[in-house]
Amino acid sequence: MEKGIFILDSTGIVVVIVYLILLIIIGLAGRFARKENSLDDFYLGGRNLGIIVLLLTLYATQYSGNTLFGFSGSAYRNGFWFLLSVTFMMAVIAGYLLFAPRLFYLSRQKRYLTTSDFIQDRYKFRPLSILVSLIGIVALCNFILSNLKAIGLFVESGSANISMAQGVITFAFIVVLYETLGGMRSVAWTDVLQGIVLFIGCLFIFGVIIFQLDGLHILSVNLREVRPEFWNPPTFDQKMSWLSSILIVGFGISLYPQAIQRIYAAKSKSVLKRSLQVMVFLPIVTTLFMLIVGWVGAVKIPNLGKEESDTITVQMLNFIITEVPQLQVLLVVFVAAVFAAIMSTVDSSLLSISSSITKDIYAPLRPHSSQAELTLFGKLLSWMLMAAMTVLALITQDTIWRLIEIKLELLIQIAPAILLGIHTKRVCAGPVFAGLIVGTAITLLYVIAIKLGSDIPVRPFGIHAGLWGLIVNVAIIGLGSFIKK
Amino acid sequence: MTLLIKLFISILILIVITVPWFYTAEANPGDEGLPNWFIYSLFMTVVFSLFVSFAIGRFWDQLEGENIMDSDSDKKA
Repeated sequence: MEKGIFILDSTGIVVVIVYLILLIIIGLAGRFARKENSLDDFYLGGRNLGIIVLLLTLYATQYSGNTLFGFSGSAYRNGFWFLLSVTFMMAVIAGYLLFAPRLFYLSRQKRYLTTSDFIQDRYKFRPLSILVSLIGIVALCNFILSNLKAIGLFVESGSANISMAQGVITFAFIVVLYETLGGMRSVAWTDVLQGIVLFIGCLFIFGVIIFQLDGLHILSVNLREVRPEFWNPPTFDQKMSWLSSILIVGFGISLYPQAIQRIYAAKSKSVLKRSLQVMVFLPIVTTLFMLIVGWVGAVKIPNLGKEESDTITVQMLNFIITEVPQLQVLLVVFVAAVFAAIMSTVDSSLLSISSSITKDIYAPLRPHSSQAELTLFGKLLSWMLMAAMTVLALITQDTIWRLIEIKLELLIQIAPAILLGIHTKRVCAGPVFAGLIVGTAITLLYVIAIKLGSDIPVRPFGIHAGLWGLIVNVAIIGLGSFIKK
Repeated sequence: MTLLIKLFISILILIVITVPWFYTAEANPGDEGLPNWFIYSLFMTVVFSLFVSFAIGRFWDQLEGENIMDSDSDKKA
């Protein structure tokens, strides 16, 4: 492909700088809106997020760089089969339905701040609540990693002379700056801007592809000539993997610690209900649009390798500018959307990790610390974590999609502890703890074995290792609770 | 069967049927347009989203209740 024109040219860079300055100003506004110097105010914004802020922060947090790069890249490689991503983004909301109503109610009664607060309150067993925290922290570190990697790839492939390292370091710095200025309030307010930009960006690239490039004709005619295998129905193993992915990703995402904190932060029950009722339809205008970018990209820019295909979104943007140079200014909108998607996810994850370590691990060790001291500790922690994540993002080699899968396979292991803990008194701490350890161990050992080059299939019978781990996890809880009874 | 279990099973069934199980490699995908199995899955995905949105509006208040998976005798115990 001719690479003479880049989306991050001088105009693009100016727009990005203005956008970043706006984020810092909003972050400052969040700082000045602070009501008290407490963990509750810093990490949950005073539990006062209204419908617009909550909806857009849920949206901006759920849709990340993975959606804009990982999903389109996977659609490019796997074809129509990857439609499953639209379903699993909807399944996330179905996942919320199974636990959010009760959890929101309890969080108002008992002032939960983190997922582990509920676990500790329900099971009264510190090792279990710490383990749940640690799994959440590992999963979120992975999330930050994949998103920083995505932003680095985007900057590097979308510009003539900015390196991946420069991109990752700059954006990591801006995120941690506004996050530590105003905590959840700053993050949620910046998410409003980022959510709007992300939504408009997805609509925009979809519109350009459909109307300017005649995308419907490409999908129904040209794509079949270039990639006829996309038309084959999935094999049985692919269908099993389809189902397994929906269950792992759909229910895994609903258990993100930062998503659970947004449940706690909602102003009221009706605000939370209405936000989720809208959220369930957003995969159609976000995920599906990005899949179309990948499918059309398979025609316009064929023969990309596995790593390269994760940059298909950027390559399509470069292609569009080359074909229709007058769209260059408008495509800056999409550039902003990319940064919005990635930064909004990274800031939420960082905030959540910081709250987990501060509240679940540090605070019990320092029971006499004041709220102000704990908040300061959380802020310093955010800076250290972001520095470590930045270094890791620059040296890790996995594809973006694989990074997403690994974290969700771990995260879904805490589902039984939350779901069963919320809805029944019959399960107790011992079996839940044992199930969680064994399920997590199975998942980790499997992932490590694959990493070390073992010949075992990546997904036995098309089912993710995490789902096998979950089955054993639930079986142990069931058996253990039955014996105890 | 409690409401939560009914909902869980309904969601699971709807997720399972979004997968195009009945479309096999032998099926003729047609001469033009998108593959039938893709259109089927997209349609079922939309049905799934409608159900979830409806269920949130209709059942949220009931799901808020205490220990809804336990039978009444368990609760008394």
